[in-house]
Amino acid sequence: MNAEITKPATKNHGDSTKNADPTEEQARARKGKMISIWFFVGCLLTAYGVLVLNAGLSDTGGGGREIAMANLHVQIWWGIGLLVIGLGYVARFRPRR
Amino acid sequence: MPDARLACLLVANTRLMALAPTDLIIILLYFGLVLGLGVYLRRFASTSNDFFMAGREMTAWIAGLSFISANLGSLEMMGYAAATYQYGILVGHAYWIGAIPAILFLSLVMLPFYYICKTHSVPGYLRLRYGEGARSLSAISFAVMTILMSGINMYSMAVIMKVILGWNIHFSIWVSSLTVAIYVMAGGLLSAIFNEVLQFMLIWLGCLVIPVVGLIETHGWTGMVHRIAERFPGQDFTHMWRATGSFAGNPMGVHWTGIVFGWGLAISFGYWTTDFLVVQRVMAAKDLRSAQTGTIIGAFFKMIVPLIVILPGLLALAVLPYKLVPETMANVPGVHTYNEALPLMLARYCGPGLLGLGVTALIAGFMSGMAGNVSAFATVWTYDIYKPLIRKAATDQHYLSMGRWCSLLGVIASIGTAYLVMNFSSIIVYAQTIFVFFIVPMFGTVILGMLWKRTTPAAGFWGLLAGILTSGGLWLWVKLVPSALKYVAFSPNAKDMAENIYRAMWSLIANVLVTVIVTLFTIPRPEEELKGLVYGLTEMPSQNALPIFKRPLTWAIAVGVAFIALNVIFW
Repeated sequence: MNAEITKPATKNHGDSTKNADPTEEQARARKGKMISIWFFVGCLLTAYGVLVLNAGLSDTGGGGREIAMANLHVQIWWGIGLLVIGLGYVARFRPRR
Repeated sequence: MPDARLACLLVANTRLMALAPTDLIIILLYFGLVLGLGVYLRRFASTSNDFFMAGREMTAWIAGLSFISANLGSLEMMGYAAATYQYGILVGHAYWIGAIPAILFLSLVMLPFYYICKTHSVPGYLRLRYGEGARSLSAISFAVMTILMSGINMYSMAVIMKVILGWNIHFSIWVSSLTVAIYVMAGGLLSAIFNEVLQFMLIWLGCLVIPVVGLIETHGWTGMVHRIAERFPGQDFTHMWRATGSFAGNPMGVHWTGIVFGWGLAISFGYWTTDFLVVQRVMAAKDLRSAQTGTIIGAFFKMIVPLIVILPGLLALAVLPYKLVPETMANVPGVHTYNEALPLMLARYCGPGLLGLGVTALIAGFMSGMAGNVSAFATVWTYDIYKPLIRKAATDQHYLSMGRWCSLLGVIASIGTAYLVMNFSSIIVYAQTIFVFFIVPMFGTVILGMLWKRTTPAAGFWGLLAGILTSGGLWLWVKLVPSALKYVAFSPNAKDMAENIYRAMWSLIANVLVTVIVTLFTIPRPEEELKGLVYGLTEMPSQNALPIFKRPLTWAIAVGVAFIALNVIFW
């Protein structure tokens, strides 16, 4: 099913439900190609990865709160996970000319 | 700028948890991104087709994730986690039998009709099939329901932000609704869909911490079951079907027949196949196959949502050092209510940073829920109320700007509802039942119209009305005469949830009966008018040319097998 994501949002060639209004076609050409939502998702997750990892590394014991299972250092693992997923999406869906 | 005020307005009175600066930055980044996306997407919404249908060019993945996200609101998540604490794993039926069969049915049987007739909305289908009467009735009831739901959503978010973080209620309502208004006005359904995809990622990444760390703490599933049995002896919290042989044998007071017919058939099929809020998402897919595959992708993710909703509820039963209490005891100092189950578990395992991520996931869930309601409202209002009843012929630009303005109007009406709910808090309970009033009977009308060419326009209208009146009437009967519960829900022990399930069943039965009887006494429409609308008169695109792994049917079978396996494993 991976092919479904990677396919660029081609503009409905051969789609019978679309009315081929010439002005609409022109408008589409003017607007240019839309940046994939996954790129924005990737950017946000990368930023979150950095923040969570940083919070995990400079851990001060939950900021005064008591955290159960703190010995697992979940923030560090989660931060790394977010960073990897985020960078993966950014690399795969970055806008190209 | 809402961002600057956000930090200033953090008042520190009684609250569940305190946010570190990292957490605040995470929340602000989210607000920044959604506003930025709104501005960016504005230029892609220049025709009414772009604005209301997202240009009909979503891929299967985006349509599917948005379809499932529109349903996975924060209110539902916290509500179902709370209900799990109260009733046990039984609540998980909402995600399995109460969803999967209906979603697969939508994908394989109903979507082709919605898609082939090129309608913009579910009420739009009713007009093509039955005429203006049925359309207007369903459009107006949908518009009312959507605004009420959106307002309740908004109010609940404000209350939860107050309980968890100590934020001012008015501040939460206005900041969130203005943000939603800005980005929905700019990008329409496209904005709503983008935000739902974003929300989907955030909810999973933010909430998955709880089951992962929780199961490590309890030494796995068996350890958790063991701890629950120790702390709550004599009650079965961890089996899906075993305790449903009698009404009194399970904490919810429901019989398995109610779960199968009321929940699995009436409520579930009504919601998943005719609630335009969710159906709109897959109608925006770029072609029929993407719409069908997207729906099945949605079904798969729906099936694993219990991991982040039901499991945290069960873990709360196992690990929280104190017991949670019903909402009615919320005034007692020092206690926590069922509704706080999910946030409490979040606070238990999440240090700075992760907590911000979890809270952002909840905020995202609320805001995209609101955006979904507002964009569905704008579509139904413009296409199914304004265009046919108020102004028939106008330019595309006119309807586009009507869409933008009534998105704003929808937000304002929601804010109004939120303040109404604030002053009459029991309305929140009433409003949840509104859904059963309006949506459940729709299913009978739509499905009879799709599968039976004899069904007449008059039957469509009267059947729908009969269903709505039955549901409303039964609800009123139990309100006025509480002892009527034993007739409506077959048991005086029935809890609210069980009552809703049985009322849905009666409503569907009334709808189908009236539709069939009126049909037999009225004249059907000629067959050539029903081409593309009814089974047997519609040419279905063949998928035999596709390789097996690209056919929606293949994936539907895979999801179906997994669904049966899960029910057997947790029997």
